[in-house]
Amino acid sequence: MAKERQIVIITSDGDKFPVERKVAEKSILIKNMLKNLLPPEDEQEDDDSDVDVDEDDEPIEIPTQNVRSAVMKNILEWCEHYKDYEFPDDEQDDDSKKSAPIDPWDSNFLNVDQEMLYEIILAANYLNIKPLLNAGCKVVAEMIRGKSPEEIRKTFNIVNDFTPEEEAAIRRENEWAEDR
Amino acid sequence: MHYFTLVHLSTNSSNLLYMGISIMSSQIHEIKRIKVSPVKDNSILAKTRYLPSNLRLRVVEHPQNIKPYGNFVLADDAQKLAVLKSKGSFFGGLSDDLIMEIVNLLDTPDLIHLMHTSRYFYGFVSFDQIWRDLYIKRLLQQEQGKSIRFSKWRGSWRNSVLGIDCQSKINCDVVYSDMLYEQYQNSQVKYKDLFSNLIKEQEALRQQKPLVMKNSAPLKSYYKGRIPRIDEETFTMEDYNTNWYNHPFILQSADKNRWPKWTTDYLQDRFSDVKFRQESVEWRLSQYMDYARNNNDEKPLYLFDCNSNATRELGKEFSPPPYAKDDLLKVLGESRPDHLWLTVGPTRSGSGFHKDPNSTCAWNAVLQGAKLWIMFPPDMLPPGIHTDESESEVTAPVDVAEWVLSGFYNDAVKISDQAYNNQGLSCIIGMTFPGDCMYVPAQWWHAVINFEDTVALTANFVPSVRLEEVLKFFKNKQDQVSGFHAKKFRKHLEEFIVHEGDTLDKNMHSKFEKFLNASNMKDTDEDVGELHTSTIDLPAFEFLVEKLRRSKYSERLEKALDAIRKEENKTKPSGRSKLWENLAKEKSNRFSFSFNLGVS
Repeated sequence: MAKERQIVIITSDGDKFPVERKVAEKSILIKNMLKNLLPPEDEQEDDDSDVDVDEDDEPIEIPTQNVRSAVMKNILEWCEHYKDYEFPDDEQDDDSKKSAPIDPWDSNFLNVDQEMLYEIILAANYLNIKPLLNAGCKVVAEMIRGKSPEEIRKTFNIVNDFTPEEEAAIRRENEWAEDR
Repeated sequence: MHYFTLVHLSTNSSNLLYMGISIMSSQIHEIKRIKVSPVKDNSILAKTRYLPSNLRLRVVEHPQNIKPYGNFVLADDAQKLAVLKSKGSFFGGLSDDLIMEIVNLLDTPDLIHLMHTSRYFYGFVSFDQIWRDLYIKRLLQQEQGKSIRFSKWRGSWRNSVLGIDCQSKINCDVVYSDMLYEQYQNSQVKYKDLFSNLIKEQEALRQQKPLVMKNSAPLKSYYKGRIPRIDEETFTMEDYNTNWYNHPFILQSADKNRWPKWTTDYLQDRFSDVKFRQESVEWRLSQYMDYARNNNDEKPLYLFDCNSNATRELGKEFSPPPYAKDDLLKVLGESRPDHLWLTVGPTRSGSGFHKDPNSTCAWNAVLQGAKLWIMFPPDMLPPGIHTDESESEVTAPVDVAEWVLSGFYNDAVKISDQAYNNQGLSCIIGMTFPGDCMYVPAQWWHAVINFEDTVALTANFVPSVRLEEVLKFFKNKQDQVSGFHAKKFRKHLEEFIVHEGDTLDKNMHSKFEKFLNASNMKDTDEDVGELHTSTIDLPAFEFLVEKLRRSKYSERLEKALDAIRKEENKTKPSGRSKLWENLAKEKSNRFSFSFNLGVS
């Protein structure tokens, strides 16, 4: 009888997360990796009658060196939430997808401290989870929107390194633009 | 005197297959002995066509002191700390790509505020591509009233969008970015210096007496890997149909008034306020010329216009090259695909490798400026270019400037130089100057770069000798057909049915009716190539056939259809095994690639 092979994601700090295949495959990086190791899910039932049962019981371990446990927990929560949702993968709607407002569930999900948001963006980029990456970028853009330069600096720990002359030049540039 | 053996040089086996039964066959495949004057003065040629291989290492100083990323690795700790402070802790660890993703979600005034936070962000957000993309993105949303209007071009997209005339002198030496630096480097390419040897050579070739058709015609007698120049006055339709329809050549004329002298100044005087199409924008000519003369875009917007009234007017004021006068798509009248363009391209503008639409041939006459042409025969994929099997998708990892600078141009030169020894069709490189008319055979890959501000006229056409290929394209590659406008097409088809409906075959009649009754596209005037193909089933093949049938080309059409039918029957499963057929096909391919080796 066909049984799905266990998939285990191992984080940089050594934690193991057993996951369902379709959850793990939200990451295109992992999906492509599994493509080489396993037959596609729908063919599995018929194909593996001859496969060595012992080997079949071995879980597939996927090491993710760049992602630590606390971040992976969040990433997998997101993947679990969307596991039955098919994201359209055509690039044609790219612009309209980007200008669409952020999904409320994503927005709430990404309501985390800045360090975690930063790590989720890096992990989504590394694991190639486009919809999560897009959502992360939208949250950051949201944090910039409507703020003055000084407020943006504060939010992101940016040091004002303009010389006084440069400051003056920028002020002029600004007045010019706003005069119109 | 030298003697060469001239053979038809098609590398396309299917081409050979059906051509064998087309009207031209006897002339094409006849192996002729032609008297050729030997290649004369080799000293006229550039000693080498290679560009220096270290172009990327040429350091161009960025006006804002932005440097390639490699410099960051070498920077000292104090500088690294300065970068981190200027980027802030959050952005400090993000790559350029990710920061760009975020910045691209912003609009004014948030972009300005971000730009004014630190020297890093001033440099990053000043990147003109961001503002160009913003302008174009908003233009596409203009129904929602979101387009940005600027009354005047101010030297950069940023300044034009913001309506300011100055760029503050800010030292952005904390920005280390290949993305930003290389874009600037590419925008500073001085093609005229880089290609000075080739330009000298090409100008010298042009001063020489061009090939005169009655004396000699062979492709191989011409200078290796260059594009042959032919005297227009001596070139006949027979020359075209026998030796030349599948090889690029440049027609030049002793008559200085052969082509109109439309310079940018002339056009600006005559059409200053007329709107022309420039890729995704449609600006008045005067504003476009301001842009063309003063921008730092890596790939400047290219004026490529076919539907403005000005271009239609100009279309009546010149005479096309002789081989293009018999254009079979004329039978479609106003419903034919777009075919005549006025082009104005600033220095550095150009087109990456492509094949012309609908399997048509083209000519291109330069009226001002200079163009570089790099051309590959239909079956030879240019270096650095990828396609899917049906060639419906062409992907080039890089723009033309990048293609040249990163070494692909040298790869092309190498192929071109080597090919001479094999004597087959291969990569050829040439330039056209005012008064020169380039012929681009159907299905040839070509890339073009404007070395200075360049005005040209270009048109696509279908000569009799190519009818089979074009019919097959319309029939079998419907998803790649482009340039038709559904509204015009519909109108002409309706008129056609009113006048000729009685004479139509029943099936055809109902096919046309079905198209006319389809409601999903009644009002669209978009180029069908831009639409999702599944929504439109344009009966272009059928309409062309019916129109040709009722024209002076009716006999030619029947021969073509007959040839296509025979070819299709052959490819249908016959008594032979598939394996054999594949083998036979492969063999004939290899044959056509190599059968010239013995001839020299």
